[in-house]
Amino acid sequence: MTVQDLSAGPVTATGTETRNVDGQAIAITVFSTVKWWGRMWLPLVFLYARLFPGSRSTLAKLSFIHFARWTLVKRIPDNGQPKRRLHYAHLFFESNFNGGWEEYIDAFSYILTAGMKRFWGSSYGFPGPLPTSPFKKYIRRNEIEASHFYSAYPAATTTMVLAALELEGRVAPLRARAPDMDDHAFATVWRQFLTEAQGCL
Amino acid sequence: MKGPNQAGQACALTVLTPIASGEEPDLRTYLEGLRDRPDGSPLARLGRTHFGRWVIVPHFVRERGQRREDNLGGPYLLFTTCFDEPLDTYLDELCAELAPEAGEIWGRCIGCPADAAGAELKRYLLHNQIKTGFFVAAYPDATVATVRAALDTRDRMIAFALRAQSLSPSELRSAFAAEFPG
Repeated sequence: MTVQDLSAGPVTATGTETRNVDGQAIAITVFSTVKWWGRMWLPLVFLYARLFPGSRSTLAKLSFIHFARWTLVKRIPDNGQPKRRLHYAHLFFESNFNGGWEEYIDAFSYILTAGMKRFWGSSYGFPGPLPTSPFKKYIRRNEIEASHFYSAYPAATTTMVLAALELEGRVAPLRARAPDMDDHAFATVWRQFLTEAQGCL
Repeated sequence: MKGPNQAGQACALTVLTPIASGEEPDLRTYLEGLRDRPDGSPLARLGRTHFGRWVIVPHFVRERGQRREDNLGGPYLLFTTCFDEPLDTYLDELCAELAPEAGEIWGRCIGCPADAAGAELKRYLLHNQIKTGFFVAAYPDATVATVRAALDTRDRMIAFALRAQSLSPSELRSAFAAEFPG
C-alpha cells in the first residue's frame, strides 16, 4: 500500500484571544450565575454523570476535547478578604480543546443539546443551546480570557493523541516479533501492520 | 469510583485566591509575560502537568433576570491544572519548582504566606482549592510522559512508513530494527 504524508497538521486554533491559545490547544473559561434551584440540581447532574459512564458517551463524540470540568462555586474560601459571601452559586466551566472556538460551540450545541440544558439550564441568561448565535453571545459575555495558558504537547490535537496511544499499542508486538522473523516474513507482517494501523498515522 | 477531582489517573486542581488591593495590574502584566520568556512557561517544569492556566476573574457578569449583582469585592486569581495523580506529591513539586515565580503570583494574593514556597504555600493552595463537580478526560489513563512518548513514536512511524516504500525486504527489516528496537 502507498503511504501519503499527512503530517502537515490540522487547522490551527482560531476564533479566540491569543492568550487562550498554546499551539493547537485552546482554553475556554466561563463563569455563569446559577439560580437558587441550581444549587441542588447541579450536584445531582454531576453525580449522575460520574456514576453512569454511559452518560458520557455523547461527550466522547466531541473528539476535540482533551480535558473539561464543571464546578459549582457556592462559597469562596476565607482568607480574611473584605467580602467573601456570595449571593448566588456560580457554575465554573473550563475546557482544553483544539480547533476553532466557533466550531467548538457549534459542536457542543448540536451534539450535546440535552446535556447542555442539564448543565446550564439553571444559569441566569442561558438562552438554550440552539440556535447557536444567542448561545455564542452568552458564552462570549461570560467568558474570561486566560492571562497564561500552557499545554504540555501544544502541537497535538486530541485526535492525534488518541491515535498515537493506539499506535503505541500496535507497534509494541511488532517490535517484539521483528527480531525472530526473516526478511520476507517481516515484509508481509509490515504490510499487514500498515493496513491495520493506517488510521493512527 | 474515583473522586470528583479525578478521571482515571488524571486529576483536576482548581484554586481561587483573592488578589490584594492594587496588585491586579502588576499581576496581570507578570502572568501575560510568562509565555514570552526564553525558558517558556514555568508549568513546563512540572512534568506531570497536561494543561494549566492562570485567569484573573474581575467580577461575575450580571445576567438578565438576576435580581442583584454578585460583587466579588475585588478580583480573584483562578489557577487550574490537569495533571497526573496524586495531588499530594504534585503540590510538593509545584511548591518547590515554582518557588521562583510563586511570590510574584500568589504573593500578590491575600493570605499567601510571606515566603510563597514549600509547605506553607501548599497549605495555602489547599485551603483555597475548589472541589470539582465533574471532570472528563479524553485519555484518562495516559500520563504526560506516556502521551509524549506515543506522539514521538507516531511521528517517527509516519516518517518511517514514507521511507519504507522504497526499501527492499532486507533493508526494511534492518531499518525497522534500527528505528524501533525491540
